[in-house]
Amino acid sequence: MAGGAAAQGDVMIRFDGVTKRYRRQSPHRGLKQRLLGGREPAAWTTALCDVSLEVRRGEALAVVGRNGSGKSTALALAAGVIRPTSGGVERRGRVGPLLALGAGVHPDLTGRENVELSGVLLGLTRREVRQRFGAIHDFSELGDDVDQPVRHYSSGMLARLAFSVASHLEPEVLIVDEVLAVGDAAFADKCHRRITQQRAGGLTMLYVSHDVHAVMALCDRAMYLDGGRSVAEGEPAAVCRRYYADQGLEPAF
Amino acid sequence: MPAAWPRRVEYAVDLLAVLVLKELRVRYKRTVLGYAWSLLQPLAFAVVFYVVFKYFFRFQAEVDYRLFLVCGLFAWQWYANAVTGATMALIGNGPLITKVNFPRVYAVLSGFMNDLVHYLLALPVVFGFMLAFGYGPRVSWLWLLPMLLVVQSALVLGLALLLATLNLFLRDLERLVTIGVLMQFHLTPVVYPESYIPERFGWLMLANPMAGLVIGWRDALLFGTVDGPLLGAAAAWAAGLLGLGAWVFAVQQKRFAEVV
Repeated sequence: MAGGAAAQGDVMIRFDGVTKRYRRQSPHRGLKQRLLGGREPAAWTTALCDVSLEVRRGEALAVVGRNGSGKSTALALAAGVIRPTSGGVERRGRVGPLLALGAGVHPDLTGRENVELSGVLLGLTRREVRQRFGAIHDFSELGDDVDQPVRHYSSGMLARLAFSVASHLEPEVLIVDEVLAVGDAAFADKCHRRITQQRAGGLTMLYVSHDVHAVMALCDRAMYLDGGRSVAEGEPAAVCRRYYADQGLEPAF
Repeated sequence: MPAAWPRRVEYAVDLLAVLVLKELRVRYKRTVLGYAWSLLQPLAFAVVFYVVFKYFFRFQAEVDYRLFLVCGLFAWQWYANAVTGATMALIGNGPLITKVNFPRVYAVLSGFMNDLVHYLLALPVVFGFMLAFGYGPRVSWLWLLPMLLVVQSALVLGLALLLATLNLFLRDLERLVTIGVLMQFHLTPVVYPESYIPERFGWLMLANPMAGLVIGWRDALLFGTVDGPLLGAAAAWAAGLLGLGAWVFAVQQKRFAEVV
């Protein structure tokens, strides 16, 4: 882990010709298939193909693309949860959670218990989590529901919990995967303000969203993935227009 | 990293603590009796075994059969719960493993700690039974009990690492382990004394590390002695399985997020 504060302009995430293949598998590889299926040739899916990118300290990079284009694989690689098949991934600093709906949230635990669990999983000690709990709780606007099992939460409430935890853990790199879309407009707006404020404080961000307006408002650069390849990279508005055009949509921005 | 040690130790302890707490909370959520279940289950089985073997089989033993059962059952329970639970240690934590990059070994360690703590909390109940039947503590416990704890911990942890990993690749393992543990129970002298095992099956006691451990716990608790060669065989198994489990886990752990 990076002990000292990294200087402005440091590369926080670097992908160097990253390719990720998954072995395609029958849904439940059981003993039966193993014994009776013989050796079927391995089938591979290429989720990401020769992608290079760099995110410097204080930058926000958006990743756009259709479902299945490799966005989530890219985020999982950046979070260090999976390893590339070939190419190199370098990360530095405390990389915040892979924020996706219900990620790392245990349904049987209460909101409060989940805050502690995710906080510690993300690298804070319990004391540090406790110090931040008030702020997290306030930001989430969950009120007394924070002591209810997360099982009873609506997806909007889950999004509130997830974002509140992630944004208060002071990660050096925040990874956001399509979480704000579920909250109501007021909360989405609050999240955007929080991100803007933290970005001013030097937060680095990797952001996946289908909301092109959010991408343009929050990010400095965008990358458009199609079929696992990076087909466009640069200024968010231009990349988003290309993304819309490829889908036969009229960009209204 | 200077001065980072105290925080790293604090962090490691906290990570283990929140994961153990999570297991406990999830396990006992919505149960009225909560932790008491970990005592009630073996005691309920003890009652059934007592009735069956004492009254149906007219079983005679040198120590009171109730005490005999209690001295071995909790150790067995620890092993059985930990080993069956271990198959789910990684799969059950799938949502965490695919989203957060924390040291994966904690997913297994938390389950292991959970069952270890349950056993330690059950030991006073065993001591209570012993006192009730007129057996007191012994000086040799000072080294025998820690030794048994270490050997059984190594065995359980080794199997847990191995089974948690392999179950990701072969999901049938859960079923096989459940069946295997039940079979092993019948081959382990938990409800009958080892003296009932004919000599030509003696090798089974060496091939089954839980035989040495259950006999070890019982002898240590009741008489303050252990059977050296038998416990030695169990210790050899434990060391071997811990090494194998740690190796398999270490080799495969970078793939966990993809296969879970």
